[in-house]
Amino acid sequence: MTLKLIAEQLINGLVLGSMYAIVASGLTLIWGTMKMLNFAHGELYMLGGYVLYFTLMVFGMHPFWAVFLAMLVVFFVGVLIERALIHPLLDKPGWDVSPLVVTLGISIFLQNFALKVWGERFKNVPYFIEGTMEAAGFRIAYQRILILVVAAGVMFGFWMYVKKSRFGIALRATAQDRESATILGINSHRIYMLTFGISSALAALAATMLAPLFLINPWMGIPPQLKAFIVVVLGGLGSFEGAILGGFLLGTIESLAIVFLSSEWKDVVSFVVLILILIIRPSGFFGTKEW
Amino acid sequence: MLEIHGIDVFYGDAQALWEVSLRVKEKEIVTLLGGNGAGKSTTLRAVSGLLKPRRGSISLAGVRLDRINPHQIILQGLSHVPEGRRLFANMTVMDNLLAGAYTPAAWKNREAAVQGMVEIFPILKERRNQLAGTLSGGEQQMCAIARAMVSQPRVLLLDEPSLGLAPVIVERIFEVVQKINGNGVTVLLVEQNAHIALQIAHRGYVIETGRMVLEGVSSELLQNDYVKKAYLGI
Repeated sequence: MTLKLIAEQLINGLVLGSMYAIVASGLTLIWGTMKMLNFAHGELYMLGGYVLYFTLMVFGMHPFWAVFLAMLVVFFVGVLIERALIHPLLDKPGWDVSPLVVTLGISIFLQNFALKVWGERFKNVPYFIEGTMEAAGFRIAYQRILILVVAAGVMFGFWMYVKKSRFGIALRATAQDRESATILGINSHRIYMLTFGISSALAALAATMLAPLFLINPWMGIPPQLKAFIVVVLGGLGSFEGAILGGFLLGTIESLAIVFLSSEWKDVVSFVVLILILIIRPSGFFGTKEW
Repeated sequence: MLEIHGIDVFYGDAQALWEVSLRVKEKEIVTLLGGNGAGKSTTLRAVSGLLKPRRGSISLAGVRLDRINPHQIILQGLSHVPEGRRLFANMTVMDNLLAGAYTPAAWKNREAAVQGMVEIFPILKERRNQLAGTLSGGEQQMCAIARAMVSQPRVLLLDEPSLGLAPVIVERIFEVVQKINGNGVTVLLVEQNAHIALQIAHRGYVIETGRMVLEGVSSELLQNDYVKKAYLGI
């Protein structure tokens, strides 16, 4: 166990963590605005992976357009889910439970849909950029660097968008006080619909970036969904900053766990972290802050 | 300008308003007086579409507000400062004001409109990067009025702006309301503090347990024995 190994694992941790952050920010975005948990988030991630497989491998598109199309398709799937299945539950009694049941149902449906339609054979996509970079004795695959760059760019762009744009202000206003937002002319139903779409597209983005590292299969959404829940609890439900920080933290902790224990233990370590956080600081790092 | 005609409003099965009618003419300040739970806020909430009347009609310059989606009512030029300010507490003062400029027309003109508001309330300029929840009560009320005014409405609904504020602050806010009215904005002011409300209002209505019981010009209401006894404490 050398310092070099630790350093390499740290970088891997940041790469993985950046994607945890992206998946978790989608989850936290929905919680922050609609006060509901989306149990189908992992399956939207999975759909992103499959769309990428088709755009990249079947239609032979350039990776940029393949990723873009995957995000777009999953955005509309998210919008459709919100319109058809979540929207009718809004403002009805039982809102604290009903979206859980519905999204869990969607999750089970989508997994079995993928299994039935696309089969149980795992699908492989190549790295978007072949080769590795060698610097200061380190070897890092370009794909991993690409992941980090994309994650940083998307997170910064999204953060600025939410802070500065008309839509971002409306989104935060709706999250904090829906009725006040309504009298200012903000259509909260439209905000919810778009929030769901954006959240889904973020999940799809993470799936497409990680697909070359892992494999595409009907169950690929389960681990990121679980990790995203841990991240969101770690960072504080509904907090964007918390999701980013929590994502990087969890990725790093897992990668170091692989070095010091073994790869079988990394999930144990992440759940221990979750339990510790729940004991020590149940509201997470940014738990009291809202959008 | 604003005409409420015989509305019945319910919360679930519980009726809150019975055949409430009220008129506000252009450029008028009209106050709606009444005690706690009399139906003042309910009336305003019906006007801004948050509650739909089961009977009766609400119209603004001939347009039926009760048939419009609540988020589209501001497009008719009607803005509402809700009871208890209801600011976006975890957003900055500036973002609160920008949220008030959400309508497409106001968004285009947002910088000038926000500038106009901070000229009326200079304290908001100082506080612009502070979270709205950290403002004092008076500052929050100013911020709430400014947020509602950024869209440059024709009619302003004000729900108990004096609530919980020191008398000197209340006076400042009412001066501003008069100034806003002087600029041509029609005002419907809901108040428990009848004394100060009747000082700036042209006319007033009194509502009790969901029914209108009195109406008249302010000078009359100030002299009315019932108003004196029940609302002015004389």
